[in-house]
Amino acid sequence: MIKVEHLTKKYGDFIALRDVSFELKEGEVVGLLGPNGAGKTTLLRILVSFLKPSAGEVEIEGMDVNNPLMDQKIKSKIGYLPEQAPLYEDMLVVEYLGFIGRMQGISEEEIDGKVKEVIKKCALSEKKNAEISTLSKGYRQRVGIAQALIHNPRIIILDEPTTGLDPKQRIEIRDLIKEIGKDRTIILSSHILSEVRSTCSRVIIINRGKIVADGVPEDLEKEGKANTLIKIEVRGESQSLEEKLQSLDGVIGVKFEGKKIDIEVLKETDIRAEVARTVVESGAGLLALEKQETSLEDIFINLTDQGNE
Amino acid sequence: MNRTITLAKKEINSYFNSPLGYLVASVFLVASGWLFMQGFFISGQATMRGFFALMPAILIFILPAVTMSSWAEEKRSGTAEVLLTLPLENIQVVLGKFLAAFVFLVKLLFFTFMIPLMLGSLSEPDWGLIFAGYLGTLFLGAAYIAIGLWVSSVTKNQITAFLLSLVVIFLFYIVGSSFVLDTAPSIIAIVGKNISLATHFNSILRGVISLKDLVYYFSVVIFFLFLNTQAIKERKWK
Repeated sequence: MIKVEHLTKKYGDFIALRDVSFELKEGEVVGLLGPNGAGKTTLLRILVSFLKPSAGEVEIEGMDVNNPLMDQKIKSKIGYLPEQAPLYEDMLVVEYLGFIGRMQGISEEEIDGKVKEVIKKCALSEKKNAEISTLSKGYRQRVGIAQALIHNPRIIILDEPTTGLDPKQRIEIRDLIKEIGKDRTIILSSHILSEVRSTCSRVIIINRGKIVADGVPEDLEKEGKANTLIKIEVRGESQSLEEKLQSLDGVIGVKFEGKKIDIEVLKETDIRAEVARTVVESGAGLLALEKQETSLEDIFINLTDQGNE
Repeated sequence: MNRTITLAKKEINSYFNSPLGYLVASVFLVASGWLFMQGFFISGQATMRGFFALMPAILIFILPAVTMSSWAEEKRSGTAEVLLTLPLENIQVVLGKFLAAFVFLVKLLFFTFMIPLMLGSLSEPDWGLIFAGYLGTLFLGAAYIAIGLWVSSVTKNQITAFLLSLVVIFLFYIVGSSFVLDTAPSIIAIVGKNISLATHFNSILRGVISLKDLVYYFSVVIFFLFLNTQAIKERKWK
């Protein structure tokens, strides 16, 4: 449905995207993850034909974005919410949605029905006759999403749809995205990991203009970090404990911080039982033992730090 | 084409959604009416020549106020990104904005109908000259609008757009004035005279609508709308 090959975008000397390639299938909900300035917005802007790539190819449903004849056709296939949900402040919500709908080519006979439909879907009924300048950030974001949905596009692109929202609004927008993602392809960008994890079936992590990871969140978590960490807490001290722990199979390193001990273990090895037995036998007294799972967060920090060093 | 008109309608509504549209219209009507009537009773002639002679100077302040936000505000607020990712060509967006400002100008001029009405009731004015005057004002205004829109498309701030449009239009106007024509070297004077907005306006005011003047105004409008389209295409502000 969307095919990106060796995409590069330069602004003067600055390279915003370098050799980015990926492919999206129909119905996927993809999270584009990366720190600020990683190139997420640039990538999305190229997908919606707002910016032209410096090199490489982008195909939307088989149409090349570099072909000016395809420009309008591509644009009408996509619903787009830019960062910060820019809207015409002086218009009423219904007016604005009607305007965007007509610009998307919806006929006069159909327009009222379509506007009603998206107002209902995005839970805007209460505010439909309000002036946009009076809306809260959460409602503005919903108007922005409604605007992207009005012509019933197969592809929806949302640039940071939940940034700047309070936790309740964030959950509401997240639910809305899940709802509309049931029968559409969605790409959303974010730097909030929990959000991507809860809404997306696939994550693409991008840093400094490059894709550094691409996959299902769970898989990324599994293969992400090389080693697992077992954290334990002991009551007393035992001279030989460090040596004994070091000699266990699979242990890479042991770090003491007072009575708290971090044990780094090879990935995919679970030696919690052995660690517990060792501690108890040494007489130090085991107070707590916990295996730390690698989270998407760790992978994200890991991957994006590497590039910055 | 439908989309261009939909956009133009939305733009016209937005002029009247804010106090600015009403303010600009009021200033125009009061200033033009008052300045014209001052001289009207002194000259004692049933002609609108004095009224149309005011237009270049008054519209220099009025039309940049209409066009200043057209692009600058879209860029500042980010709505340009929505507008330019809708399925229409850049040129259609530019035309829609031009059309909206032009319709606004037509509305402004429509509300000066009291003056010819008054002249008609007082005596027998030369209707041909009045018609030529309105036509000339529309052409002149169209050129001002095209310049104003272009300036707005290369700036990000409404106030800058307003002042810069004013300066550019003023320069285009002044190059044909006798001050420039008399002092500049002859080649510059000839060029100045021919590209000046004033020269062509004055000849229309005399009641002579020549092809040369029409071609001139069309060229100015097309030239600046072209520059506008290019500026939008480049998306330099991002």
